[in-house]
Amino acid sequence: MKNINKKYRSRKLYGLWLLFILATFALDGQIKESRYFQILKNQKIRIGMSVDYPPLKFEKEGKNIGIEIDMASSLAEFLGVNTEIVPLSVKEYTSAIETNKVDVILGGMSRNLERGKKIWFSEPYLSITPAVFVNKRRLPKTKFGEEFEEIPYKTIWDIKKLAAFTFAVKEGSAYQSLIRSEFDKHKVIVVNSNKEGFEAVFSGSAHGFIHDSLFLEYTIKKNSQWKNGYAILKGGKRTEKICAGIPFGDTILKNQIDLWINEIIRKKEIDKWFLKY
Amino acid sequence: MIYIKNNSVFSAAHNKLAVLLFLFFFIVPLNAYENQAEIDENLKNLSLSGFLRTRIWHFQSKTAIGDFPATSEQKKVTYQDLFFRNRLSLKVNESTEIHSVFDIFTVFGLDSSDSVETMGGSIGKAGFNLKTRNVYFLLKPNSNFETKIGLMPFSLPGGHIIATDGAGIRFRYDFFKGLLRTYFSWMKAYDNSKEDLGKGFGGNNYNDNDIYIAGGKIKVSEDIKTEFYYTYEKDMDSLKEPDTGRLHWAGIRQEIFSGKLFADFNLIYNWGRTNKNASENMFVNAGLWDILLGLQLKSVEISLLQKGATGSPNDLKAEKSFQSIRPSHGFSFIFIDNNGGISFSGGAMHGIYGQGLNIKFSIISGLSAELKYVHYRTIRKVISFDAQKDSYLGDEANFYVKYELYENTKLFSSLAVFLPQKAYTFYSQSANKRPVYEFLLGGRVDY
Repeated sequence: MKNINKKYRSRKLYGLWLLFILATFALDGQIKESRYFQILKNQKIRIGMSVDYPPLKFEKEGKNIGIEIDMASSLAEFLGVNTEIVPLSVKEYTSAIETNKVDVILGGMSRNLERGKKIWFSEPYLSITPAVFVNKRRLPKTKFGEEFEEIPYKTIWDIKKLAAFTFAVKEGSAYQSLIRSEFDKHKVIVVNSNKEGFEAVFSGSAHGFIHDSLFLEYTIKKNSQWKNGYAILKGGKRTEKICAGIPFGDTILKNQIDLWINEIIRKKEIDKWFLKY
Repeated sequence: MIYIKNNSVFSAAHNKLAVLLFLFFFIVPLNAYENQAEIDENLKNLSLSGFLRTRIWHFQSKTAIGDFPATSEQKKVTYQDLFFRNRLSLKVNESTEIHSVFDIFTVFGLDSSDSVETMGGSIGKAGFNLKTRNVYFLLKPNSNFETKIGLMPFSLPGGHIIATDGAGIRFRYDFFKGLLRTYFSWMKAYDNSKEDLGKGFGGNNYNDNDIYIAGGKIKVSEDIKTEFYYTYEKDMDSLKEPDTGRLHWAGIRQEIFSGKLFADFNLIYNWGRTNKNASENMFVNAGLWDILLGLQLKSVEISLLQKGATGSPNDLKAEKSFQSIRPSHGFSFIFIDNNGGISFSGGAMHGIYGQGLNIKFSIISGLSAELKYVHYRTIRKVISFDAQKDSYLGDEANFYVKYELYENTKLFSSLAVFLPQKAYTFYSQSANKRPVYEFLLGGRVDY
C-alpha cells in the first residue's frame, strides 16, 4: 500500500515538473514572440498613423508635424530605437496591427468593443467627445433680450430635439455607428474627407459635420472667421478614450507602452505638445 | 493586585476601544462610502452652467428717448451692470429631469437712492441676490412626449407676443416620426409677468390672469419649416364684472433655407377686447410682421430685415395697436431694443416699422464685427401741434465688435447712433433733433 502511494506520488511529481517545464517553454516562446523584442532587435518601431488628423498629425511645408509625431519620437527615445511612420487610413488601423504591417498605432484611435476583439489598447492618453460643427442658423433661437432664455443648445445631444437636421459624417469613422444608434430620426450624408464635411455645411447640403471635439476645436481655432455663423456642440460628459493600438495578447509591449504613457502624462509632456500646436 | 485590577480595567477598556475602533474603521467608513457613492451618483447627473456678464454703458443726448429726458445741454449717463446666470439641472432618471435657473444682478451708477438693506445684501440699483427664475421638472416617458411643470420660460417665435418666465405647464407631442410637433401650454402669470392690459389701474394686477398657448411645427422638408401658433389671454378683473380682457393672437412662422440663402417670415394677427380705461372697453384688430432675407457665406453674413406692427406709435390703446403679453424683441441697439441701455421701446411695438441691412463679418483671428443700419417710419403720419404731418421717425446705425479672448471668454463693444427726424419730434413734442449716442463695453465668461 505504501509503495503504491509512493509510486503515485512520484508520478504526480514528475507530472508537475513536466507541466512546469512546458509552461516555462511556453512563456519563453511568448516572450520571444513579443513585438517588443522584435522592435529592439530591428532597432526600429513601425508606428501607424493617420494620413491627416490635425492637431495629432498633419503636414506643414512638406513636413509631418503634430502631437502624435512628437509622441512617436518620445516613444522611440524611451525604447532606444528609431521610428518609421506608416500612414494609414482609419479603416486600416486594426488590420495593419493584425498583419504585422505596424508595431503600434498612434492615430487618434478611440477605444471600442468592436476593435477590442482584434487588437489591444494601451492606457488612454487623451479624452475627447463626439462633436458637431453646426450652422448656428439651424439651431432654434433660445435667447430673447438680455435676460430671457429657453434652455440653450449646448451639446451634440441637444440636436435630438430638432425635427430637421442633416449630419455629414466621414466614411469609416466611429461616428457612423453613433448616428445610427443615437440620431436615427435624422438624415445623414456620408463624405470622403474632412474638407468635404465642412464644405457640405457651408453649401447647406448638411447642417452639421460630426467629428471629434479635438479635431473640430483645432479646425475652428485655425479658421476663427467661421465663428460668426458656425459653432461646435460637444458631447458633454460622454467622453471617448484615445489609446495606442497594440497587437492582441502582447502583454510585454502593452506593459512598456502603458509605462511610457503614464510617464508622459505625469510629466505633462502631452500638455506641452498641445500648447505647441 | 492593584496592578492586575488596573490591567483588567485597562483590558476591558481596551476591548471596548477595540470594538469602537473596529466600528469606526470598518462599519462607519462602509456607511460613509455608501453615502459617498450616493452623492457621486447624483453629482454625475448634475449639470451646472451659465455665464457672468458685465457691461459699462454710456449714453448721451439732448433728445428725449424712453426714460431719458430732453435737456438743453448734452446729458451724459454712465453706469455698469453685472449679471450672473446659473443653470442647475439634475437628471433624476432616464425620463425625469429637474431644471432650475437663478441669477445675481446689480447695477451701479444709474441711481444711488437704493440702500443696501432693501436690496437683500446686494448693492446698486435693482440689485438682487439669487433671484429664482426657473424651477421645474421635465418628464419624458418616451421620445415623442414631453411635459414640463413648474416655473419655466415661455416664449413664442421672435419673442413678439411673449418671452417671459412664468408658472404653468407645457406639453409636447410628436406625430409621424417628428414631422409634426405639437405643443400646448397653460401659464398662470406671476409677478411682473403681466402688464396692466389697459385696466386703467396705476399698477399691475395679477389676479386671475391665464394664458393658453397651442401650436405645431411642421417639417415640410429638411429645409422648409413651418410653425403655427395660437395664444389666448383671459384677464379676469375681480373688481369689475364681466371680465375685462379677452385677447387672441394667431401666428405663422416660416423658415426656408436654400443652399447659402435663408429666409424667415413671422406674421401675427391680434384681435379681441380689453379695457381702454377703467370704464370703457376697446376692441383690438392688429398685426405684426417680421421678415428676414439673407445670404450666409463662410465668414460673412448679409441680411435684409423688416419689422413692423400696426397701430399708433404713441397710443397703445388705439384699435389697431398691436398688443402683447410680455414681449422681448429687439431690432436695433437704441430704438427697438431689448438688450439693455437706452431705448425708445424695450419690446412693445405698435404703429412703427423699420427696415434695414445687417452685415456680420470677421476682421482678424478671434475678432468679429456686425454693422447694422435701420430706417424707422410710422405706419400712419404723425400730426404735430401745428398740424404738420410726417412719418419719418429716424435712422439708426449700429457697430458691434466682439473679441474672443479664450474659448469661453469674450470682450465686446458697441456704438449706436440714432438720428431723430421730423415725425419723432412731432411724437416727442420737441423741436430737438439732436443725435442719441449709446456706447457699450463689456465682457462675458461662460461656464
